Amino acid sequence: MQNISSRIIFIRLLASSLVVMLLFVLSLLYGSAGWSWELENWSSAIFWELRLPRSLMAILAGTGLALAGFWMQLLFKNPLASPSVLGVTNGASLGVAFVTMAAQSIWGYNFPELTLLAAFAGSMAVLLILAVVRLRLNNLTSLLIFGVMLGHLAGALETIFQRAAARNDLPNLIYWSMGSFSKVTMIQVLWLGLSLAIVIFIVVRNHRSIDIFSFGEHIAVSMSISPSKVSNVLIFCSGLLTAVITAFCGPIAFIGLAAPHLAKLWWPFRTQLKLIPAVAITGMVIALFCDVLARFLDLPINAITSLIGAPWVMWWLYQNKTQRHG
Amino acid sequence: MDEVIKIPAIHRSAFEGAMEFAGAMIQHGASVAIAGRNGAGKSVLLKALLQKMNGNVGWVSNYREPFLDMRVQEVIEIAQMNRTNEMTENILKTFSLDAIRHHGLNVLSDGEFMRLMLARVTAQDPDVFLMDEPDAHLDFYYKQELKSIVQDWQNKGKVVIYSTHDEQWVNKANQLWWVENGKVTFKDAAQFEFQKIGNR
Repeated sequence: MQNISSRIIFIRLLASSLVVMLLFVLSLLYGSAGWSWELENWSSAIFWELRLPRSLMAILAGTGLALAGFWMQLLFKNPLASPSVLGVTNGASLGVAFVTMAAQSIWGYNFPELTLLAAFAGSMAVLLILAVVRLRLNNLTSLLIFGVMLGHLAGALETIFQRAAARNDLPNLIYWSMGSFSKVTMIQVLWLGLSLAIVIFIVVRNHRSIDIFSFGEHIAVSMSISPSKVSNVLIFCSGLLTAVITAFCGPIAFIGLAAPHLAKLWWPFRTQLKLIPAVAITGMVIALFCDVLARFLDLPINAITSLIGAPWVMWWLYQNKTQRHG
Repeated sequence: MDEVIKIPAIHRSAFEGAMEFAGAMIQHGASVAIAGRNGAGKSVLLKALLQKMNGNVGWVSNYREPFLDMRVQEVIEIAQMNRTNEMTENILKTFSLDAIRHHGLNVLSDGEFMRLMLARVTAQDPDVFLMDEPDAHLDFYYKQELKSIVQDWQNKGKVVIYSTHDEQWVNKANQLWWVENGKVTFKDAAQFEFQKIGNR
């Protein structure tokens, strides 16, 4: 990308926004009841209570996951980092496993209606453990390994719960882990919108520090930027987004991993302020596209994102082998 | 502004990477060469100074952060406390970076990257420059350029501290800090010859 004229930038931004709007309308029009073009449907409960929240959730969750993945990759300087890398989604999963399977052996009942709350609590528990550990663990690579281990630990407990669970309690967790943008309410959309607003506000306030942080520890220290403070901001922001989205939609894979890379393919700028919109738009496009496709093919969203995401990452690694510098 | 800039002393145990440095007073506009054999502790000293000196300190090294693909021009913009387009253009021109201003850091050659790091620290405009072998990877032309750039900084009253393996760079410095086994001794910079040290 040698020459960057403002006209090209404007056209790219306009085109990508149009794609988002197109997919948004497509997603509103297509539902389990098939296509609906008739105007009277637009005022129906199906539209306001099912389709609109679902499409909005796809947009906001796509944005949130893409940004969370972007910040995790920036924090760990690792192109394969994703929102789930610190074990936040595993924590959510364990929470869901607990209320849908293990609660029975303690209180004699399961509480599948508490799924959302349990998922959020699980994520937050992981974030809390990370925050406590962070007081002693200054090295980011150690923190990353700690997070991955935490994820494994949660996964192991989850397996034990599954093994001990009654057979007809299993589907709850399985369906939850497939991920879905439907089954969300307008209130949840607002909650996610609020979380996104808070997180973006925090990052925009610290945008220069984050940019300088990416130059490396020594340069950051030389410019009076505290690397550990910036890391904490990034961990909090992506952790919060991942926790909220996972609670509402289940663990959505691959959007957070692939969106930052795809954004960098069509967008020439790399500073926080200038890259965030491109990453967000890319996340929206993937989420909306995968959601429409998932419903069209009647497959779970995670199958679709991974079907598209996995080959993409493989291709990216293959492609970059020759470009990498020493 | 104070007459002199005080460089803090450093006493580190072998556990943290042994370093004995008594500290120093440096006049504004003066330069310090840090020299020593490979592994003597030159970079350790510079990094320890960076940690100890609060405030606006410039840092230059050839260390490249992995997975950093920021654009050349963006790096120079971010480094400025009060950003102006004029300053950005000037620095891009001074370091001959205007032709590659939209390149990502990951595609720069080592020499180009070193020039960008020097451009970045110029944009930052610190009072003290700490540089780990700033002439590493530079071609013969930019090695000369760097001398006049460093002289410019000194003329503005900045203190420039750099490690080097180049006798010219040692001789033109106002002070020489000789590092050996993590101990810093002060030597005469102007008369210094690497030959006389020998292999020990």
